[in-house]
Amino acid sequence: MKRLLMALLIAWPAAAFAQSQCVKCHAASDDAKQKAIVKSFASDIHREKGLSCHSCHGGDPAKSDMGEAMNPEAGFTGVPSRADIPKFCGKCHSQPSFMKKYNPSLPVDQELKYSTSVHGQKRKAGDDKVAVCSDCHTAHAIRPAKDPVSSVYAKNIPQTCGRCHADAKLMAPYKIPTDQLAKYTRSVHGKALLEKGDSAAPVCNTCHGNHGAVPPGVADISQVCGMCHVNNAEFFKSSPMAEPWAKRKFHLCATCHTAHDIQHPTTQLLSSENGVCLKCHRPESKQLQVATGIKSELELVESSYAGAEKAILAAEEKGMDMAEARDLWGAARMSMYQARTTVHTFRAQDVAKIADQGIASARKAAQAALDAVTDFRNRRVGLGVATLFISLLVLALYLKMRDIESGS
Amino acid sequence: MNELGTALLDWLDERLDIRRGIEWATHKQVPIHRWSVFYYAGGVCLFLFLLQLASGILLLMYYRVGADSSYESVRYISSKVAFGWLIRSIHSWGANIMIFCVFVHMFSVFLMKAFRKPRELTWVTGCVLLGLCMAFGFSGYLLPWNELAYFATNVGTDIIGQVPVAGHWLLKLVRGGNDVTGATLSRFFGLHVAILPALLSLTIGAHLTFVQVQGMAHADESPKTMPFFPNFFLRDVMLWLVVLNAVAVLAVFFPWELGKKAEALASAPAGIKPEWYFLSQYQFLKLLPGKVLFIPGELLGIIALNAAGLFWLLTPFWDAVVPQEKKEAAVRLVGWGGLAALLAMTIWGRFS
Repeated sequence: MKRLLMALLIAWPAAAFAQSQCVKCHAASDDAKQKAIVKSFASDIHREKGLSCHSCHGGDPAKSDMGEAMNPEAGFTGVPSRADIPKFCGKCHSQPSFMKKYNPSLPVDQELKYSTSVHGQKRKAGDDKVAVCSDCHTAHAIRPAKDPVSSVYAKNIPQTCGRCHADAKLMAPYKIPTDQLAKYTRSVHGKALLEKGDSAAPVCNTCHGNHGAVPPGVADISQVCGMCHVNNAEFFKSSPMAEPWAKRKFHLCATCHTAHDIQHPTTQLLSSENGVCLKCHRPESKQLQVATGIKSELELVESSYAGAEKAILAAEEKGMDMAEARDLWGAARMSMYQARTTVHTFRAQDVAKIADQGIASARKAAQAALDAVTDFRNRRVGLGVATLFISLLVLALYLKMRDIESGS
Repeated sequence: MNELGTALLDWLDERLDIRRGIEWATHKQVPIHRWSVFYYAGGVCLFLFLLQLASGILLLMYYRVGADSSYESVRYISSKVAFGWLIRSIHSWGANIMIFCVFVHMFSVFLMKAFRKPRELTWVTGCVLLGLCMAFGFSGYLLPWNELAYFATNVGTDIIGQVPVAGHWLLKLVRGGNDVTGATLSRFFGLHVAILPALLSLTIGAHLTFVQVQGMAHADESPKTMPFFPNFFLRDVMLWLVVLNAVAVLAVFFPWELGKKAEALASAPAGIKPEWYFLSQYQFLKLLPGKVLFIPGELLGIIALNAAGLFWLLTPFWDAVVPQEKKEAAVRLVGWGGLAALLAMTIWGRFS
């Protein structure tokens, strides 16, 4: 009985939708666009929740007469203009009492945030080309953001935003770059999301916001990067760089790491030949000497760490137990990461303090691995000696036995 | 023998009548025939038992039982204690080779019909020894508290729960609760280092006494014999040394791995299987359907395995009632058939 009730509850919205006069007429229409709307709405989250065409567009789905069904006096609103779409969606999505019936955890401030966004501001100023709700969410195939087929699912967001922002023709009047999508795709964040499938990797709206999308200013971006890279941001704020940075209104992170094309940082960033420090400092300056010192510390801890790993792998290949060496190697890795983070203090002694701990751990790990390999060789030598001794003993016993048996 | 040796022997003889024992050993005869080589299997089992005893005692010096300490202490033994890796590997390899030798010894005794009167009790104690060795293997397998051991013990003890009526109670008794936990580890440890060694020592004592009292069975009509001491004994010692060397080679070239620490919430590793000496039973249970008529397949399998074990244990008694003209055929059929089934199921279990 319970199963029957469940099946009825699931089937009811679909049945109600199929019986709607709007669907009957629009599905039978000669207009391919109308047919496509009916088809795409079949998988829309609103239909799943029991809503139908008239829930947004008004009208009476029970009337078969077109005039009666789509009578403006009876509440039919028809297709909203682009300018009216935020308000059109906001009829429900800005109403907490209405929305909580369907999804209590869904925010109801999207319309408000949109009005503060660049999109919303330009829309208000009469720009008809800027994005409205349906540009990102689609009009009749809306899916929740957690659904992988949704246009606003994390992995699909770069393409959704890029549809406009990578379109040079569309962006030309705004005089903004159109290479963000290409840069993001090859960035460390883009690779994590698009190649490794890490849905926790930041995507356009993680930094820019979604409904309240703004191009971040100096203050904003420092907050945005620091949300994930907490220690880096904190170290930077207490570093000697913080004050001149603020004076010159430099982007806290993007100045060195770029905005969309962020690559995995290497010690080359600190190079005295082609590093990012040269953007502001002269090669012979004191600051470059500090950078060189930091760079050599980082390179030392990285090479010690890599050397320890190689030694451990060699010992493990011989079947030696390297659990303790692995622990030391793990500690070296932790120190290496911490040292990389400490770079943002721009104080060589702070970096050296952490890096030296990593170097010491890595050296101990490498020594343990070398000792294990030596032990491995000694074991074989020992076995050889023992085998020789046992063989001689067996031979002696055999001779003794032969002696006894020949005597008897 | 030098003067000191003679004096020591005299001293002991005066108190313990030791010369009578030596005299007895010198007069004890071992039959010589084409299957004499199998007479050494029992001695190898005894030697491996002593090796297990010695290596087990050494491991006990550092092993600390407990869900938070077993794995760590075994890791410590393998990586920090001088020659700890060798002792642990010898203990693990020795256990497996010992069970193999027990099987060889058992089947050779069966096929040479050495279980017949007056050796019925020698056979029964031998079967009990096999059971105890397998219990040793099962309980010892869990002691390192690694991933494989944890899940193998889960599966192995689950079978106990299938016993009708008392199954759940027995399962709780073995596990020390509903699940395999630190309590199970403590029980298995107690079983492995106290209860089983005591039972095994007593049963070996009885088994050896029976063998000494009855002498070795003649597998054929050959009248040739050799003195047990020193002729047979020297051969025994030579073989023991070779076995010791083989165990050492295995321990050095294939040190026993420890793997990952047991984690109750982790998923079971793919393709997990019991130790080779339980593979035939495991494969047999796997082949049975969920239900045979109204009886659960697994329960039926356990009953069948126990019945087969009992039939094997009672060999001297059913053999005695088989008509004389069918005796040889019956032993050949049961012996070779049993061995073939055991091998086939083990190989099938290994590669399935």
